[in-house]
Amino acid sequence: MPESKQDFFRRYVQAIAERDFTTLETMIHTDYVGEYPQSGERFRGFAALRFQLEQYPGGLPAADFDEARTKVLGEEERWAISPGYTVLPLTGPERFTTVSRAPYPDGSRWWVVSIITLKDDKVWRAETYFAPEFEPPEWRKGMVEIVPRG
Amino acid sequence: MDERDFATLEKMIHPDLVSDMPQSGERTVGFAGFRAQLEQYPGGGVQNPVATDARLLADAERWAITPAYTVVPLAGRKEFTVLFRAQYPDGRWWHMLTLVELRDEKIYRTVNYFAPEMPAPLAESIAAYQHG
Repeated sequence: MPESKQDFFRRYVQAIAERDFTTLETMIHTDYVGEYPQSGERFRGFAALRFQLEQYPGGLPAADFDEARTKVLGEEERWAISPGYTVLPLTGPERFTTVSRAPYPDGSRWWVVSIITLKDDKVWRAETYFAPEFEPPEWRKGMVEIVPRG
Repeated sequence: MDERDFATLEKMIHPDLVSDMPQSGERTVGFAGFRAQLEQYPGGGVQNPVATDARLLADAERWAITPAYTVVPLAGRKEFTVLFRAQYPDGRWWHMLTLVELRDEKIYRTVNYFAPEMPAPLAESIAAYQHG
């Protein structure tokens, strides 16, 4: 049974968290392009992805990675039955949004949101955003409920 | 939202709206709370033009032809990812990502993330980020 996209992305996020570059390389397309729109950085190919993960200032504490908070939004492979009773895959970009929560060396936690496009069943484009946790502001008190972040 | 057109917005919001901001743990329930936040944002909230580079990431409605030549909508969750970039009253630019789930053709669930623009390399900016 082929791996579901949900499982694929969970394995992908886990490989990044654990710096499992052997697994990660098998999941990255040879024409991979990654972007960080917040800083305007773009990097191409697996080597660049690996390099920036390895060089992260202070290292990334993989053991604390919050796997339970990882979400994948996107649909599984879609199929249609043609008038000739042939089962056809539907065309269209295989685009997914992954959301995970990661700790950083200073103890802060950030939400990481990636917009990922697959090609040939590999990660071909990744646009990643990093969103810091913050305390609820005073002016919104009374308007909102607070959901414990854990 | 850009124009604070609450009459239009109310028609687009599901009565059971739940809107989450996981970064702070805040949750807004219903249109009234949603509206209050927009109205009371210190300094007037994001400035016009609010949304630049706005993008919607999702497939359009998809249809398939059955063996009997009937056109049927394909099942699927009505989830979309909306990205845009906005400027706040202090002049800073942020990227906003909203994961939206529709129900009854209205906005039913949103999960909102706010990512500040920072200098490259981003890793060093994240390491030096001043929270609060």
